[in-house]
Amino acid sequence: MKLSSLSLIMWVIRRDLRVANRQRSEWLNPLIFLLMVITLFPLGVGPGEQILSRIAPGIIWVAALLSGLLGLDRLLREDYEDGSLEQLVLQPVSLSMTGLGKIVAHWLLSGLPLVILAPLFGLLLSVPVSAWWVLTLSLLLGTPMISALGAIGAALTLQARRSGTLVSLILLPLLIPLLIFATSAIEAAAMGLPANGQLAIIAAMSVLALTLSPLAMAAAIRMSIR
Amino acid sequence: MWRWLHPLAKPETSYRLADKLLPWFSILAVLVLSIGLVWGLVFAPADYQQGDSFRIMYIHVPAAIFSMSVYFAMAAAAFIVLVWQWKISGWFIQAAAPVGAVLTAIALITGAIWGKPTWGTWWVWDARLTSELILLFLYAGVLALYYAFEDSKKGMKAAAILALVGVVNLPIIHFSVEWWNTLHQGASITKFEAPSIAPSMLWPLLLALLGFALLSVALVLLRLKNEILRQELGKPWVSKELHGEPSNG
Amino acid sequence: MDKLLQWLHMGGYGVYVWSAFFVTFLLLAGLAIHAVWVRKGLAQQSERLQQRRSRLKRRQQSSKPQE
Repeated sequence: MKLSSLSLIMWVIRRDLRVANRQRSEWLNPLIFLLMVITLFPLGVGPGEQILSRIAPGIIWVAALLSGLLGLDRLLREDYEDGSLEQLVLQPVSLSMTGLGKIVAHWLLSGLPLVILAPLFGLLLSVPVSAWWVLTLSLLLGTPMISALGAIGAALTLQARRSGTLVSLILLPLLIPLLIFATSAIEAAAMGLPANGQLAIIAAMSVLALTLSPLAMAAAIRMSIR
Repeated sequence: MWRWLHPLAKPETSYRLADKLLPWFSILAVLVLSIGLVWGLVFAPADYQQGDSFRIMYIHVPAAIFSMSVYFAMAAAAFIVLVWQWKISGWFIQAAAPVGAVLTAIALITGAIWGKPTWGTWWVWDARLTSELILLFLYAGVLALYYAFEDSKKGMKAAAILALVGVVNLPIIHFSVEWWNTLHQGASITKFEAPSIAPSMLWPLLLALLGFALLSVALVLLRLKNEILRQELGKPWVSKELHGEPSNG
Repeated sequence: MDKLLQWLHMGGYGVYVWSAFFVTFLLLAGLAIHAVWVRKGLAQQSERLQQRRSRLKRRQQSSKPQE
């Protein structure tokens, strides 16, 4: 069976989505977690509109990072345990492309829902309506980077002991630039300033992460399987 | 060049080389560092703005600079492991990471101590201190990954991949933190680097820099020797090295 | 003597300067001491390994004639 890269990617995505459809709680739980964290903040700091809208970008993005890390275990663990990852490695197709498919599938299940829910987060944390558009865009452009770097982390820790906390430990420092530019984009938009620069940087970082991380991921998977 | 490097791939040869180099680096490091620091502490004139507190610079600046350099050296070693499967450079990652982490910690602690008289608080979210803090997290990640595997060879490779991913990200992190800092503090209060430094203050700083470089190399060599022994434990030359009698295994 | 005290005082910044240098020294010395300590542990491990090996060998040699 000879597959072109694109159809291989599509095949991996379709397969992962089908598996995810069977275990909905696996990808719904991080989303519910995210909503809970966002609910906790008004309860923790008080429901004042001013303080909430001041810290909303930070809360939304920190919560998005944390919930993104929560679901990472699902990215490869099951395939590894039931042996299908080994099968994928043995296929005469590029492992990086398979990895890219897995990243996209993970994003569809963890990043895309955030983009759709973005106005809800803005509503709950009293982000000015004028900034909703930038909030949504920042999530749309930034969450692929979480999936891309997250895939490296998941692949690196496949065989590690205590992998749960380890993934967060190695990934969070790498995601700091995303947090900085995303929150600043939303803050700028809330103040009525243009946020194109920040959004362009976020997009550039996501593209860089999406091009390089399949390579790192493939290397890490090969290392784990062998 | 490869023919010349080839014997080094044998752990014992590398061990002997490290063993031979270590005393030189240690002696030179202690010598240069004591000259530089005594010069800086005793003979360099006090800063007209910061008084004597600027003397912390003689450890803060070298520690900050070499905390980054050690990371780059580690990433270079990681590249060699992944491309040429040269395991000693993988052990180098384990040897270098704690040295880099300690230098980072020194930069952070001395920065905080320096910040107290300069800014009035121990901690300011200044660009350099924040970058150092993130660098400490990066070192922590590499070390945690190195030790998280039953199979030390896998840990070595995983840490190598992470070090490479980190080195790609390091400039981005650095840039984003600088940018974030100027965004939130306006014209920031970077008193750490005087725009032009008097020669009487510069010479001791250069000596301190050289001394810290030598000391870092010496410490990495010391740890590398241990790691080679640990990985080769049970081989006759190791038993001979450690307690003078070759095992007949 | 007075000059020495004045130098130690560092124009009022003595506490900061000396604590910074002290912490630095402590951390760097800690690295070196830790390495020496690790080496001692390795020596013990290696010795134990060798003892086990020679015990195994002796047992093999003594069991051979019985066969």
